[in-house]
Amino acid sequence: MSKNINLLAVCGSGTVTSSMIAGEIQDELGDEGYSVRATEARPTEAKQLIDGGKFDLIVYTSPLPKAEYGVPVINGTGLLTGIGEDEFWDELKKTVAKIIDGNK
Amino acid sequence: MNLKFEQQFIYPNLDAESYAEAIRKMSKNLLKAGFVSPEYPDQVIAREKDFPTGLVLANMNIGIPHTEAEFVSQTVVSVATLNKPVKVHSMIDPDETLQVSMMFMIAVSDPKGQVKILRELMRLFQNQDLMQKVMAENSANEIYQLLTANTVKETE
Repeated sequence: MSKNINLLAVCGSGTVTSSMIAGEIQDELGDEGYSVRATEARPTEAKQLIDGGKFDLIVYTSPLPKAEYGVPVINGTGLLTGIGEDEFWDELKKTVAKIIDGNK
Repeated sequence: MNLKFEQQFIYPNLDAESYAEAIRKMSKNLLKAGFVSPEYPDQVIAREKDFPTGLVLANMNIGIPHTEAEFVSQTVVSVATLNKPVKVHSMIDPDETLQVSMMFMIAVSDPKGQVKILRELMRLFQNQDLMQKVMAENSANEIYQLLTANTVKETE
């Protein structure tokens, strides 16, 4: 049973902070048997990419435009700053577990 | 490639009236060394309007100004501690403003290929002890030593 997750990491430039958190998420979830594929994007690109239908969730460090994304959306700044990091991991892990369950 | 600092890009007690002014001052040596394109400082400053870079850490606020990789030819992280705090908007809530006295200007030429560097940097931010020490230092060499000693070298 594969535990594959397609993550969209969103930050202002679609590069620096989204890369930081995508890498951490891949590592941490990897330790728990998940295989995470991460794509980085800017907030303006998020809706279009999500509509393409290939992502399971969004983690962001810059605000996302208000929209119906249809997937779980999690604030990743806790991971960046270390503040509220435990709560971030809790929420993320609960979310990916549900995603995998939903895909069975 | 590991996260490396260079003394020429470390600025203790920098005088600046604003975030933009600090960015311009920090960019001078980068431009001279050819690590960034001439548009770099303008791009970094312009980006702040839409995607501000103020971060609230556990016991201080920092700014991590940056822009797209196309304006960077060589990856480098510049560090500054400021004589006076400057105002910056919060990354996660652009309507909120913070005062920052420390800045890490991140110029990355290859974000996908240099994720390790970014993550090492992230770990430094979360080392509050280290951040306090850096704030208190007056010499570029001392800051360089502190940061270098605390950068965890990840093995491939």
